[in-house]
Amino acid sequence: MIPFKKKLIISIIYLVSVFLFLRTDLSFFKFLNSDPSTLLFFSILPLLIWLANSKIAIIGAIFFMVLTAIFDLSKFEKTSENLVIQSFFFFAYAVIISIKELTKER
Amino acid sequence: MKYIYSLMRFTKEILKIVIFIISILFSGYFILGTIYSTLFTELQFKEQIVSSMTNYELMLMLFGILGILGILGFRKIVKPILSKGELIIYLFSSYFLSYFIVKNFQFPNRLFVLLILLISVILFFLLLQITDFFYNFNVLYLGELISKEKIKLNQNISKLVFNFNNGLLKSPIIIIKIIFSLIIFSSVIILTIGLSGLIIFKVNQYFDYQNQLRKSFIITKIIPKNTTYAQEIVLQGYNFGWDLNNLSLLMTKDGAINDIKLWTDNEIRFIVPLHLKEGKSFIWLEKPENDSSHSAILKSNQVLLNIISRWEFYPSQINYDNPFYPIIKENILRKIKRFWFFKLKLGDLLSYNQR
Repeated sequence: MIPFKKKLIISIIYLVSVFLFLRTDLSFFKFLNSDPSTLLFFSILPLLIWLANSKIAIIGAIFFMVLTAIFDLSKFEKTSENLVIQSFFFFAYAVIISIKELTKER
Repeated sequence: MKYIYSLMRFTKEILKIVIFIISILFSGYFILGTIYSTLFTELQFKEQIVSSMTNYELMLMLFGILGILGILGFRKIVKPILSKGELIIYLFSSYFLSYFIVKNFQFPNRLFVLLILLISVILFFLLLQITDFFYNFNVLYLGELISKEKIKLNQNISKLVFNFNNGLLKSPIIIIKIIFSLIIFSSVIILTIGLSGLIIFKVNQYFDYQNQLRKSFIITKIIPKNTTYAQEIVLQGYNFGWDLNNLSLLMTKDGAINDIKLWTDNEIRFIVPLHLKEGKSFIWLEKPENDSSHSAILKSNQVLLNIISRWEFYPSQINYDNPFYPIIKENILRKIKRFWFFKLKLGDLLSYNQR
């Protein structure tokens, strides 16, 4: 079991490195070159897999969904679009992870 | 000696705390700034510092922080006992960092894969070291140190007072020691405050300058400076505009340059035309202020381009007809020059004097 402090440090290091990488070149993520929000999710994906937990993913998805509603009400369309993409990916991820967890239990 | 040793320990601890705070603040700011600016595109966020820093500056900063962390955090070599997920995360992050570093240095393409591999291996172990440093970092340790030293100092002072009370100043060495240590301690504090203030001031000035540059119509860089005919040149700068109506011109004293491969807002690529004279020539940009046909014409700054004769790089016909063509000294020299200038693209490293 890795302690929380260590997890935090490693994830900060990873995030800094991946965001620096995103500034230089997108060849690594060329298959989803079009949309910055999708790019953001896929760049954080290894970290999510490492901290894999269906609860966290679902909480994240709901959080983004609530934010989407708020921003859509106040007519920030581009922002709400970005947020809804995030929430969709988080939900999809949560479903996959929960299926995996269920199969492991049996 | 003992005092100096303890002072050194103090300064090391203070340095550790400063680096700890700077790296945490910077990384947090960088991460939150990027997430915020990608998700909340419509909300204006003042992320001037991060966005105005070029990749090169970011890389230098990263180098500095990584280097200092590596030195300070080095106690013993950390054995990599990692779980599978941790290993993958470390590998990813070291690969990303090394890619970032290698991409921003203009290394020749041949060494690209090798350099990435080498640097990512080094970074992998450095990152292990750094996580160890952050994980084992104790902020309260400095407080403990200070309290220990305080007790010693108190004892010394009480001895001194005792001696004064007796009217006998038997040991002036204690006074000298105390004064000496006080002077050193205060000078260290003043130095650290002054240096950090100066660095912050300079960095702020530099960012202001960079922001100003970004708002003006300016050529900042020409790569390479020394070249010959029919070679590609890259101009970098800000606010070149998008040349949609062919109204913007790339000018020299010998006329406009027409063979332009790429024209974007901050980069222009062109081929050196044959009608330019050999030697030094100035290059500048001209663009209309707005779309109307009678608008004023804006001129950018001038940059210097040194055109070297092509016979410096390629053999002449007489040389070519020689039966010993490949082993003539001049031709070998030319081949080396060609390799140096056009393959490695390191021609600007030599201050090339024209004959």
